[in-house]
Amino acid sequence: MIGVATLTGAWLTFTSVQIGDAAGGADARSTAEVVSIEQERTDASVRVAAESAAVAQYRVMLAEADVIDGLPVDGLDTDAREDESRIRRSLAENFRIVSFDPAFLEGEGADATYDTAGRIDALLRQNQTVAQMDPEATAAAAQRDHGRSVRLVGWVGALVAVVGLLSLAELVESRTRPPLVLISLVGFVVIVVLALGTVRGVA
Amino acid sequence: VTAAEDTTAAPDSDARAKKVIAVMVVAVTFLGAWVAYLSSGVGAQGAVVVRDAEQASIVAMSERAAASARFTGALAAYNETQNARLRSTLADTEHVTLREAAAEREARAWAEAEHRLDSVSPLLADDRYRPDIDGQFAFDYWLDELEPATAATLREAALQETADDLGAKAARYTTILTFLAVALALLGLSLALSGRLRLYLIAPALLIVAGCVVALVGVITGAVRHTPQEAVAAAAKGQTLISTKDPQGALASFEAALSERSDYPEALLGRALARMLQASPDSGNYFLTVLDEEVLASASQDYAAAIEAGAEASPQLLGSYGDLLFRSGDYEGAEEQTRAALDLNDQIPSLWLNLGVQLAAQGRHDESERAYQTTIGLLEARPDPFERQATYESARSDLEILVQLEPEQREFATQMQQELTATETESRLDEPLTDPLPEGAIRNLKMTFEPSFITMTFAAPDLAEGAHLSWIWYFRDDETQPWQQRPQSNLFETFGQTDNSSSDFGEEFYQSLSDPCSDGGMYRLDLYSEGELILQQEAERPASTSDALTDYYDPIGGYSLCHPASWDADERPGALTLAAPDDAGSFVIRSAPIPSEYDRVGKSQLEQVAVHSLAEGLGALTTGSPRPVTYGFEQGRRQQLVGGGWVWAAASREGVLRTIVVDPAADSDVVAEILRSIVFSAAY
Repeated sequence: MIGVATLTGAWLTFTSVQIGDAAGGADARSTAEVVSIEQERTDASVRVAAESAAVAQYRVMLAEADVIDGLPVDGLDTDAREDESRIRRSLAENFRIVSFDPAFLEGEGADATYDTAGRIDALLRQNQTVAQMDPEATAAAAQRDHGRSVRLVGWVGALVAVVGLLSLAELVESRTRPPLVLISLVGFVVIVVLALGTVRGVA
Repeated sequence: VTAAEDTTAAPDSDARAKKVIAVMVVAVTFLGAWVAYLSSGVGAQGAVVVRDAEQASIVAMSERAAASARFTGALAAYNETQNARLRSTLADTEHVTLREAAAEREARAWAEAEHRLDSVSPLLADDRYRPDIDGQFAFDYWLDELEPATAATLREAALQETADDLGAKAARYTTILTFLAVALALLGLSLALSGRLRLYLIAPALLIVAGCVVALVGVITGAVRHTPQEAVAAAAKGQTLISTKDPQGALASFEAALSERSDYPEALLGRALARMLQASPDSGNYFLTVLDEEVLASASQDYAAAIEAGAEASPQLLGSYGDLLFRSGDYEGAEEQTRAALDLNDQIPSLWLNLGVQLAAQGRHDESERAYQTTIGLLEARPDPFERQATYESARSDLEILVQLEPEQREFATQMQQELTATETESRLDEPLTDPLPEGAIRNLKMTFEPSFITMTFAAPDLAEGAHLSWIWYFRDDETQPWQQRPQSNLFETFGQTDNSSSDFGEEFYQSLSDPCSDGGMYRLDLYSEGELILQQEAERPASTSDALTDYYDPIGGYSLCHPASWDADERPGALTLAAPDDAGSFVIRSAPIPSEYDRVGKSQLEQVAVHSLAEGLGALTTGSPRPVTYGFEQGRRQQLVGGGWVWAAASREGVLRTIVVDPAADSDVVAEILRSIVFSAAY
């Protein structure tokens, strides 16, 4: 019985180390996922900040064109004024096409605003691999594995106690031996059942 | 029979002993298994915390990059709107100064455009950021954006601290396990021996086990440092507020952090800094001039507590602590900390500088001088001229603190200041120094204080071209404070050759120095010729009419002035409107290019038109005729208005029209102070 308990303890120790390794791997995976997500988020922030500046230019051009259109005629060359206004509007249109995503413009003309939060979300969703990452879930799984690994070490400790009881049974007088062996046996069975539950992730 | 009994008794007693030893082996093994379990638990906890710390570090980097991007974007967007803002102001100025109807419509149109563009940038849309001319509002925005990154960095540091503690705990469990293994080995070996010999192995084994049990209790009950998220957030806020020069707000934040964790090193160090900033009379500058014993004592306590609680012992931290102890008068403690900092990095000039002054305070002049020589050697090898300049200023200020603390060290302090100034002069002017002017060669030196500058006139018959003069300025609020240097307030000139050279008006020489808007105080000038002190003179700037004056500089409109900090300032390029609290008067200064249609109109006539337009715009009647008055070295015309107010206009030869409008309710003394501070410069 001592041999069986010792072998079981060795197997549980080996399993604990394996689960601990898996937990370490999950920790590393979670960190790698955070790196990927943060990289993507930084890229998106930089890009949207540049787009916001372009939107500002777009709105300023339109606002200036509106001002030029509304200026008093006296003292100004009407053709030159119209040209100025047209150039600004053309430039603004060009900006709208190439410098940002007009789908995220809310409102019209110089009063339009850019939905930066929505745009960042959209950019983050574009990379499917990153979008599917969930570092918190991975970290939670790692945490669970760490817990299982530690609990298994606990069961090994309990098996040591069983081995201790069996050793005592070997040393004590023959009439006190049966209860000690019985207790050890029951303890061994309970420990093995609970340890198996821990290995399978249910205890 | 007796012999037979003895032979049967011996194996029985040996068997009993073996049984006891076997029980002990089982007990120690079980204890070891339990320790292994505890160690495994702590190890797993540590792994999780290390992972979280790594992730916090990544988030901090990412937050910082994102904050930079947002700041750049917001600033770029803000800059885009400046055309509309400037045009709106200029058209408005043209309207109010020249009563041009077209200009009024244009001003309205641009103002409307400006308003429409408010949502373009958070710098315009967010009420917390009120655009000012020197960009402080943008800096505030940047610091606010940076706060999450600061919090993430602090969180990483806090988690690392927890991970370190858990690692140390796991290492202690491993040590206990190792000792238990030794005890097991001894017990096992004892089974192979008999009689008294066995005891020699069992006794130490039991002693080891007992020691392990005691150690185990210590390790289990030993605390692991943990910083609550609330403490981290409050400390991050405190650091932001320190940067925005709000020591009071920062102090409250650090106190809040300490209420969550009383030995949080970041909060302790932050609280110390906030208290010192709050108590520094000249905290607007980068020097901490605090000498208040109570403040220094509490700051020292915080530093000591932070170091005790595990703050990373960097050269900067130990150097600052040493400086703090020096100001508190604990020179030996200061020297100990500074030397500890130098052990970590002996290439930092400011640490040698601190050591020099700390040794001088103990009267160890030879050692102090060597430390100053090392400082100079390291400093002159540094590539950044601003760092060199700031360190020389700091060195002279520290020596003044020394004099304040230990008046008998004045002579040595003066000697060191002279050595520092001679080296700095040679380095700044890049010329070798020659024979100095004799003492008394500079006579009748008079200092005149204007709100934003100081002028000096003096007689110097022997002053010849090529002479090297160093004008070293010190400032203090009152005699209880040590003299301190203000950043970049010194002048180094090669007479007749450098741009900042004193002007020669025959009998008299003239030199001037720009000075931040000051509320009064004591000034001291140390004048050096060829690096030797030839004159020392003190003067007192009269107290300002206002409680506090603040600087204002408009590079577009081309003017600078000082105004009361309590007056509300609407800062626009080319126009500044100052309003006294409780509507008690206003002061408006404007500057705009003269429209081309006025090219043929004479200066005097244009000024006449402007002062009458301004009066008309106010709906006020004029009284008397306009008279020539000069403000900011610009001559113009001032028109008195019925009821007490007045308007002023000056058309410059460079084609810029400058105007001032003063409300009758405005305090005339304050207005006079503002007017005296105005300096017009190139515009548009």
